[in-house]
Amino acid sequence: MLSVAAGAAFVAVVAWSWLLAVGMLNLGVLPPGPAGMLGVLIIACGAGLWWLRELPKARELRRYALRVEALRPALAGELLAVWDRSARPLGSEALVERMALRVVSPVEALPSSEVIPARPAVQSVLAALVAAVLLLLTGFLDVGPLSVLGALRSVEPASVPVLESAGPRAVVGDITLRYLYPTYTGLSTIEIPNSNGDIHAPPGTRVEVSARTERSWSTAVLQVFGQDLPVEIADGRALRGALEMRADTPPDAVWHFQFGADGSLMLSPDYRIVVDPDLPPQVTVDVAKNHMTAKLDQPLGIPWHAHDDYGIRKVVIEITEGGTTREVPLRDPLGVPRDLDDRLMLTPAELGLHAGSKVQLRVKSWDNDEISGSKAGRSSAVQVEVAGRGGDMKRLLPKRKELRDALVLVLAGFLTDASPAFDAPSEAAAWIAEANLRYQKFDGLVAADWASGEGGQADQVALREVADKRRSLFALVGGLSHAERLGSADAESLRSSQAANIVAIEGAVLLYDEMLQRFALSEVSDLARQMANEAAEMKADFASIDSHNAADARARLDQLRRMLSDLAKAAAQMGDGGLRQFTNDSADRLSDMITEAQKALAEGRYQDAQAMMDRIAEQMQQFSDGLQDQQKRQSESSDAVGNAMKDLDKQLEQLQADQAKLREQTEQAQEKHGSSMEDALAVWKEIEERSGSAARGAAEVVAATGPLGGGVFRGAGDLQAEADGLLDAARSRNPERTRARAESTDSEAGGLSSIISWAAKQRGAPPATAATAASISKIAADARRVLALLDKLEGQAASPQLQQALQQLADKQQQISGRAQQLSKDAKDVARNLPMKAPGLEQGTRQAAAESGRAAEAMQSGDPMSATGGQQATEDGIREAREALKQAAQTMQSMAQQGESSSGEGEGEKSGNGTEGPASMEMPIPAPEEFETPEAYRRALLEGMQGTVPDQYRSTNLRYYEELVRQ
Amino acid sequence: MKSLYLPAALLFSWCFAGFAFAGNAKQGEACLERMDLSCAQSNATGLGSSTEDLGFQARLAFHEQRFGDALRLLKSAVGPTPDAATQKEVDLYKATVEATDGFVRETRGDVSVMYLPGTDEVLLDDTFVTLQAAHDRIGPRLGSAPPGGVRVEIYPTAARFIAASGIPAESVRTTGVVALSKWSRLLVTSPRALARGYAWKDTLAHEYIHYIVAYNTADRAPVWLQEGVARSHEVLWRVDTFEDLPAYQQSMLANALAGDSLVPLERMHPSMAFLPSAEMAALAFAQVATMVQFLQNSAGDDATKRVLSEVKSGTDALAAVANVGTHGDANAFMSGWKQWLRSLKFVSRQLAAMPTVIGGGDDLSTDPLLSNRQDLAGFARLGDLLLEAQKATAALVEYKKAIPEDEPASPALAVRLARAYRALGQEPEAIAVLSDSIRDYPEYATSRKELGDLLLRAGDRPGATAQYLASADINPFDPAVQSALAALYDAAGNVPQAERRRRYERILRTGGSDPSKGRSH
Repeated sequence: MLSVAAGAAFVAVVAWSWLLAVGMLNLGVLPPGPAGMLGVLIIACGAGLWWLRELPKARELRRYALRVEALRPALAGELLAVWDRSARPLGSEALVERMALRVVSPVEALPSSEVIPARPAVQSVLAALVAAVLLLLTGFLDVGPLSVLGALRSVEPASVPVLESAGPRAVVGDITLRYLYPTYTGLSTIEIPNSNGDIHAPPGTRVEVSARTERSWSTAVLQVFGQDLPVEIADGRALRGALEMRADTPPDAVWHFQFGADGSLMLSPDYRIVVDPDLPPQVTVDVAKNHMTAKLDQPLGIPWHAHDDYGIRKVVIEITEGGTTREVPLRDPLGVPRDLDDRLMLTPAELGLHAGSKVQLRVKSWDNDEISGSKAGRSSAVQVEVAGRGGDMKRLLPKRKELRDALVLVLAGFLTDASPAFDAPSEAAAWIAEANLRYQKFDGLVAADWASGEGGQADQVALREVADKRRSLFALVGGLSHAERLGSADAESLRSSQAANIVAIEGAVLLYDEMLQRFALSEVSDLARQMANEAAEMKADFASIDSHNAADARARLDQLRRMLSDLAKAAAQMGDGGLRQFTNDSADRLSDMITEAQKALAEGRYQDAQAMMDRIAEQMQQFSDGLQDQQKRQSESSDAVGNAMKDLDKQLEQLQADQAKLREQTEQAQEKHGSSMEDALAVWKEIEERSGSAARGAAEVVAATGPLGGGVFRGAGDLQAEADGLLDAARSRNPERTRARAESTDSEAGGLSSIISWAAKQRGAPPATAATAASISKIAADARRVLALLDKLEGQAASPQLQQALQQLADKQQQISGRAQQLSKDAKDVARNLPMKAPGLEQGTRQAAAESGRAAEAMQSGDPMSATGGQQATEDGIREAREALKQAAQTMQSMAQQGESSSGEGEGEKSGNGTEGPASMEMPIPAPEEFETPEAYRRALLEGMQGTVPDQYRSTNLRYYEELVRQ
Repeated sequence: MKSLYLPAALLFSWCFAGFAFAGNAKQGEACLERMDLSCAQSNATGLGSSTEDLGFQARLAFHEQRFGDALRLLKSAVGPTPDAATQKEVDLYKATVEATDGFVRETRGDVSVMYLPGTDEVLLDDTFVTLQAAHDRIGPRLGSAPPGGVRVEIYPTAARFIAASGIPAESVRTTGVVALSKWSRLLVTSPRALARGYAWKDTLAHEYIHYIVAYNTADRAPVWLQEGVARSHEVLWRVDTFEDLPAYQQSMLANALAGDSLVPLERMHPSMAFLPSAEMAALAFAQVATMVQFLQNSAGDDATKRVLSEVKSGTDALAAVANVGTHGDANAFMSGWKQWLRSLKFVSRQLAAMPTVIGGGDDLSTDPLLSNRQDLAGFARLGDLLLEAQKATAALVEYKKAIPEDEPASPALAVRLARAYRALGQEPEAIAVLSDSIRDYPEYATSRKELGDLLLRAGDRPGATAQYLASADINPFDPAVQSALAALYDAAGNVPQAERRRRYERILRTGGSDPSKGRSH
């Protein structure tokens, strides 16, 4: 047991001492020379031996003998006596021998563990085992256990030289460095004679050093990176060695020679080792703005440039969409060019995007570093929105803005100009000329951009309305210029025409303005959302700022500022209201905050900069939320108006159906009980025919007298207005109104004839053609015939049965009338909330309310003709109102699309000119079989690559051949 | 025998303590219910870990603005499967923890304010000043101030306020409730969360009054009495007498009185926030505010205090009002009030109520009138375009078309009219238009600012200062107004005020005073 304990303890002591030496070497506590190591081993072994000293020693055997006697009382005194006599012979040897024989058996029967405790042995074995395991593990350290042995082996106690690094250095000169660069760099071997010894090279470069020393040395090593590298010595002074650049070279790395001769060592001067890092490629994109809108099938056309120190392996497009990032190969160049210039001619569709996509694109390039692994460099991000149907709207926006602004100036002129003066008709011509000048810019824009039906239906309707009202006004004023005097009717017509002209211009201005506003809000809102995301990312990316990433943080802030500048530009298109103010104020504040953050970064106040970035993110988020709220409110408001319109239309449709049904019932009652009314019906039919004839005739007269201009034309216009009114009144079978209109038509016809005669006589104007004169006479005759027919009707009354039937239906008509009146009010409310004018809506419902009431009264009084006439007019009014509603809904839809356009919703659209973009062009790859020899094929390819192509096709061409060569 | 005394005494103490712990939690809850935070705090010592004790401690922490502790304690109290009511409470605590994320606390005297560092720092000084003035001037009129100080939270966004208050978002949008007095705390939305700002200082005083009333009535005052007292007294922190109702509320009240369409008191329960429209809420506020004014007019300055005292002792609120006001005859009180209302010269012209617009918003879309009249808003927009094109005369024509037949110009339109007049060099007309508009719509900060600019140009520095101050009181987040005030105070030699306004301007321009304050992680 004792020997086991002692042996194990010895092993443990040696192992622990070894461990201690290894540990101190690795920690740098001990210099790597043999002296220190030996010292450590001696100290450790000494300590171990001290511990061994504590193990049971031979002199303690007597103590064990006493312990055995205690355990076996029968041996009391004998064992100890044997021990004593054997140690110091005394007395009879035979007696001692007998005593010894007697004690042997009991002692051998006693288990040793009862006498000598096993704990020290167990402890020693365990200590030895642990030390052994740890020693094995130290094999993974830079300086392992074998290093210690190696160091010990080199111990030469008698001649250990003392090397002072600060001491004198050996003189070395004529240094020549020969660089053998790694293959991937593509650099040729270079030789630098008479070098100062400093090495500059990328990792993996082998540097061969040759030099001469001032004196002869017997030994030399090249010490670098903690290693002694062999040096070949020729003639005692010529040296030749080599080292390899490592990627993990510390910034203060040096190399030198260590010379030895006659038991002394000396170092050469230190020479610097500078690693030229192989940086990731630098990639730039040349875009004026960091966000763009592109059509789905139109090449993006983003120019990019990639540069790397030693070569570019591949280039991809990195696409980030909705938090996920993917890559699309862009270039896989032949060879490893250091520079690549190209233009991204892929379309959004080819990048796997769809209409409405909003993505972030970066060009990403990988270098060809084979030593430390390929590294990627990325360009700055370009935000790309893929336009859907909104793309066309975006294209039209500047044109609409120009149109709006031109119309605003036209409007200003009409609002502040009261001419033509009613008391000076002669000035009318001059007024027209002046007023026409107001339209000069507008006319130019319309001719250039809108004449060919550009834009949507809403544009065309608005422009037609402006043109019609302008024509009417100018025609009317032109007529005034020939008048001798202006009556009150003329003045009223003029006022009315002026007002209608202004309303048309206002409507067009508001239409275009609303479109622009919605788009601007949408764009600002999108930009704000992007900025909020960017600011949040920035906050996360720079949760900790120090000198290493401060420059990156500044760059990100710069990017945010650029986005802010874009936002300010977009905000300039918004209306001069609180929202623009809100946007501008927020942008100003954020700009100030960015300045503060950059200032803090520049001054090294990184904590403050971080805090400012947090605040920028918070403010940006709040700003974005505010705009989203506004957009949401606008959308909700539009939805509410839209719903009100739908509801109104539904009710009008129902009312129209109910009125038609009641009219049929009225007509049926008439058929059933109104045999006496057949004559009256026939009379009304003739009245309607005559009125129609008069209206058609008046239109012909207007057309015929147009060239005559002046009072004749104006008179023809008045005649037409009265004749049209007559037809309306006849259709609604309103005897009073029909009579009044017939009288007016007759009067206007007579007046027109007189004017024509007078003009021909006084001013030499060409007399009306015979056909025109006949038409005017016919109109007058029709009107007089209508008056005669009305006289005939006066005596006729419905039968009592028919009157009773009508009265029974009158309640229903009354109900319809009540509904029509309510809908007229509802229509007024809806019209108030429409962003555009919809005169037909209020006018139509007003007519329906009035005519349905008149029909009810007629039914109560038993007048079937007026009743059905009123019912018909009610339906006409409702139809007009519904048509106006439909028109308004279409316009609102156009407006709403402006809001969506920025977000690119909707289906993709083809290129405007109908041709496909260059990137979409399919170029058939010729097969090698088409060439006579492989050389011819290769030559053709190379020629193809070198061929001159337009700039936008260049990248397509290169990609094509890159693919081809890899076939 | 003597040796038994000590164990017996110990046993007795232990039993007594056990009963006392249970009793303390219940008593503490009762204290919280009657808004007596000090009482609750005194019952919170030495509590155990029973559900009841933990629950009370959670609620106390919630009242004390220790939201994280409150949530943790409540979760411990209820375990993994709480019932629906408790889950709702857990949800509220959790929402409050999230809504106050990043908040810091500033305490001055008895007032403790939690807020998000940043531009809301410009509200701090006035928050403390307002509450101190409300405590000193209004508190004594209503009874004693609740012990244990005042805790305020300023929420930077409406969304955070909605989350922490538990009021449905729709109710906030419909009735414009942007502040709340509950759980012994005042929850206030920052004026920057609203498109036009709002009279937030009066609102702060209003909520503090709720707290006083709740405390002095053991929270037995019904909503109509609470709101009546708060609405009528909310201005008394800055003036000595009740103010007239806003013009639109006067016209609304006059119409309702004439048409017998007043809001019944019962409909105001459980909260004005739950009335179906902003108009009805405004009318209800006008009714109850004038009822309290009538009460004090007829029964003296201490009438409200006496009513609150009676309500605390269990008397029905209307009966208490009648007891104090009309010797116990409730009908007489109501008819007397109506008669008194009829005797007042209310504004008869029709005026639209100012809508509560959360978040950013165009001034046309947030205008009380034009937001509901697209046809008129169109004319206003045409005027804007003409004014931008430097056609001020034509712009005036369009602006005038935007004035409805039966109402005065809306505030956004008045500002536009003034700008057009100013462009034409007709500054007196511009000042007149704005002055008229401010009479009808005093809470429209832009009118105040615009008028301030005009008065400054006209050399009326005191007038300009007053208007800028009024503008800043409603919307303190306009750096241009703070800058103008700083300049005016400089000119007047009022250095402390000038420095204060410059500090505000700096805060607004840089997003906060001290960048490292309360950085969120």
